[in-house]
Amino acid sequence: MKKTVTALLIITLLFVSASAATYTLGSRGEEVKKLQQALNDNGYPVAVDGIYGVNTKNAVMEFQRNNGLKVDGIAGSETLKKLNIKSEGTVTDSDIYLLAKCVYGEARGEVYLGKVAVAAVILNRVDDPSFPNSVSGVIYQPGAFDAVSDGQINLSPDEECIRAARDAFGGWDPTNGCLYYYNPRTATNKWMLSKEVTLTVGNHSFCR
Amino acid sequence: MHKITYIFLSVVLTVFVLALTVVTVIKSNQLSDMELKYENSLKASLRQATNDMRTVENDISKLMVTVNEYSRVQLLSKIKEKSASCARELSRLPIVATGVQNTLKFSNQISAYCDSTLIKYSDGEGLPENFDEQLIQFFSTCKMVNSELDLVEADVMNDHLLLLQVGDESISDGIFGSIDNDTVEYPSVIFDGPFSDGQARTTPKTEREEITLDQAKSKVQALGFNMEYKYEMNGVVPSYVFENENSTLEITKKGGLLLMLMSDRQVLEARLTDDEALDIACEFVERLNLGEFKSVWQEYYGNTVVFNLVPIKNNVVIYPDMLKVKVALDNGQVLSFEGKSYIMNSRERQTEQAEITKKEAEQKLKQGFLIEKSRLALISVNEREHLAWEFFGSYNNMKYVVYISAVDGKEKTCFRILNTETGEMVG
Repeated sequence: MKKTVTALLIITLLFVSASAATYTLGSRGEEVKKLQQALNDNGYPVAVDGIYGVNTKNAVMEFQRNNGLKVDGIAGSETLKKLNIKSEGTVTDSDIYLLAKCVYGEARGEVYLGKVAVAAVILNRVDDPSFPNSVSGVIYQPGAFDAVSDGQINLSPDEECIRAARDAFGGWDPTNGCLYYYNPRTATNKWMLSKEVTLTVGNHSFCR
Repeated sequence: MHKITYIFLSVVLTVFVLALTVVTVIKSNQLSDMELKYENSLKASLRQATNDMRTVENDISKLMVTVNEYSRVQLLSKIKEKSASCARELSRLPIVATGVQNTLKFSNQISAYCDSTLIKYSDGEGLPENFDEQLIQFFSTCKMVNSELDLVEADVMNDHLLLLQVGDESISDGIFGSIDNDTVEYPSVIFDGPFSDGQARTTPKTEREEITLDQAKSKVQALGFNMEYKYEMNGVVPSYVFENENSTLEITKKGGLLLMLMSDRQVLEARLTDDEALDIACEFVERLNLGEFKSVWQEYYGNTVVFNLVPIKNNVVIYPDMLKVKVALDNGQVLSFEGKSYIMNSRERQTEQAEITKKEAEQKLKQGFLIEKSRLALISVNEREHLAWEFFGSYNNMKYVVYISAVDGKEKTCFRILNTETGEMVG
């Protein structure tokens, strides 16, 4: 009987923890860093270390208190929405921002050149008649980018990705006109793998 | 723990688990509902694409026979719109991108061809060369595409094919493969304008001598960079690529020109004035020995400024030969340079004389347009260069730049000047 109750308790806790994406005491990672940066930007100083500790929780609670939110120290959807993430160069042009989101989803681990290269491929496709004629059309073309298929495009881009998107819009194209890129370690598409590679930057090979 | 407590906990937990199970089942049904909604919207896109291509085929057939100018313009506008719409709807279908490229390209090219023809028509240039032959090609290709689209649509509408599944490469190759690769032969379309298959767009307008790698290395040193040669890159402008820890630089194989410099870092503050930064940008461009350049637009972000610099020859601003230089406003470092426009477009041009005076051009502006400044400029519209009077001014409290041809007095294009967070931009 005791074992059954304990097992049910564990299952219940798993369901509860899996059902909502929030940041709370003990959370860690890049998204926590963004939350901490946003708290700093809003006047709630806290170390940006990616660890949701007591100080971060207290800062969140103070923010919630001052903004008419439920004061529970849990950064859920309402709290995250209230926090405006300010950056040194706020991007209001929606195409640039969308491009930056795609770059973040596809190439956030790459060096700057690799980020600009990914952005340039997207813009090269806009200029090519074989692809949709808009940034959103190219990015959201079904199956075109893994970051769209798996939802990573919905993450907020960092400043480097926004700069990379701006540079690509400004005409910088390290790929010299490429329309495709793939990860040579994971790609299986024979048609793609048969194309001549123009350059390789980090994990991506670019081809036209 | 007391027996009663165990029973109580068991009941509570059982109810909770049951409730979660019910929620999960409901959510699963909702996912199916979502799939249905998605399938329906895909069917709508396919229907729209098929409808559009049928309209294009039909309107092209009318265009082949009409001689009335108004009718021609109407039909060209409609074909332009419908073929662009067809391309848009096709690109929404979950076909692997490589499985629909030829059909997309064909749709986009028809649209661009009609647009280019409309522009020529409005300029009084008449119809393009081989117009009738081009229409016949478009018409026969449309017929083939429509036959294949009809077959796909029949399968979809009779529920023999779920569009949701078509994203799978093996299925889309089979279904749309016949439209995109096997059955339909797509023509090469050459005209003045974007999406043309002509080589003009992808070839620099000046033929330049090829340089060796050693010569490229010397150029890099002469420019004051300490970088190591890494590899050659083919492409629109073949180049030698150099790198150091922080930067990448490309020297063109033909002509040994600086194609691109790229480096990046976060610039935390702005200590330089605009004029100081501009001096740095101009001094950098002077080292390239390309002549005199002047800044026409600047864009600010992240404590950097990007100057758009153009040459001025015989008092004419040459926009197609633009260079871009990005300067860090903390210490004046030239972070990036972009020279592709210059490399592709610059050449010895036959000096065109302005046949329309500035006063005459001013008469062509909208009444009430308040002129702030004006000058002669060479601009590119639809991939053709025009000598024009450039008027900066305002109308209805909005700022514009309007271009009136210095040859025939017709308005070539206009832009609105927008105040954005990164500076004034044309749009």
